[in-house]
Amino acid sequence: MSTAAGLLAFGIVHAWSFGREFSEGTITGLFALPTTRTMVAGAKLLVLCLWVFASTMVLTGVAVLLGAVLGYEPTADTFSLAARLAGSTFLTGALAVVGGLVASICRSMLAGIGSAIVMPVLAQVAVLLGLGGWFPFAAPGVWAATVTGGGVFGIQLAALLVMTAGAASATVYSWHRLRL
Amino acid sequence: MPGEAAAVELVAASKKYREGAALQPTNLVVQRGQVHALVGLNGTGKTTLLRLVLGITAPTAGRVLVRGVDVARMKPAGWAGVGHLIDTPLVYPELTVQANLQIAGRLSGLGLGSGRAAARRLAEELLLTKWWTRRARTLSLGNRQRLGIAAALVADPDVMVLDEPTNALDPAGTVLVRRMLLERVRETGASVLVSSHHLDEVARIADQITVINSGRIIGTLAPDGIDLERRFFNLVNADVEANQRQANP
Repeated sequence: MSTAAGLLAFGIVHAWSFGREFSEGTITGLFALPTTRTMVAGAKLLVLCLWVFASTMVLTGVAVLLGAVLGYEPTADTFSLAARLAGSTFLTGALAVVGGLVASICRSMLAGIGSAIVMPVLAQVAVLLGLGGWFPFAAPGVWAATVTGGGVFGIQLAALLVMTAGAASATVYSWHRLRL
Repeated sequence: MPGEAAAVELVAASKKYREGAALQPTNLVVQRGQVHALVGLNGTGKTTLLRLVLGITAPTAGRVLVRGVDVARMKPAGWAGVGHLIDTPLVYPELTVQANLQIAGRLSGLGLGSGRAAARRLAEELLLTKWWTRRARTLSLGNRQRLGIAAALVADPDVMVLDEPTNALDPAGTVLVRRMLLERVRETGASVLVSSHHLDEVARIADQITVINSGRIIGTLAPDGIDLERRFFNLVNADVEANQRQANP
């Protein structure tokens, strides 16, 4: 559940961060500056990455705390389950980079938000079709739900990371090449 | 030598979109230490020309030079000292006046300390200190525009490119901005390329006035001559009639 909601929430924030410059018209002010648009886009991605990390830590901490408050005794698996929650949430946040890419390419915040809505839907469809972890948007959720930890292999994780890095690079490149 | 080059120069620069030509091949020189005004009706190519100068859009043909350097090959550092306000001010509504000006300073290449000092100075110059800690979204349209002008000028640029900078300002704000621009031109030798609809205002600040219509420069006007409005419309109407004769011979 956290990965589906996370994909939507993180995706919307990524889309807002990049798309707002177009929707609010401030993008013209980011031309003809000693600070390049490449640096601006890179800085946005860095801040979003730190925010996703912080959100992941808070979410995991709250989940553990809530468990304790509700009277669940810590077991030998508690740490590994918390780490699994944190890992899947962070990877979900990383995938949300696609929302910023769509907003940048379409020059529209709404298009980015639309992609953030479509991403979890596609992930659900992929799981229903049996693609599971081979579909990058579904991989964190499948990984989080697979108690034995064998659902998503290293190659699937690598595909997810390659896609995230590719989307981040494409976002920065689109800002570098941008002409209105 | 770039040091001796014009502040801004367009050499047969044109812009064509899918919908048609926004700017016909155009030559224009903005001399250093001068205010050069572009006047014209809505949708005649003024903003397109200013966008070309800032590299916001690329020319379909021709060249655009800022301080003698081709904009297409301009290094990031080359934009230091170029202040601009096109379309929408670089103002983020959720940030305070202070934060907006400091960010503008940092983006313009100022250090942390000098950026803070410049932000304070510009706020004082444009009478924005009263709203220093207010979020920009709570400002009136005119004050937001003044904040945008302050953000454009925060790094004391020697080349300023401004698209209708006073269109939302009240008379007091217009006088304030006009005085501020003229001080910079006279004291530091800065250059201004400004588009405006206000012929009266243009007459008060411009050293040169270029008239643009249908994406073409159709003439110049002497700023100190009498009845600027009549001469402007004479030029525009003559151009419109010539175009009509050409279309329907």
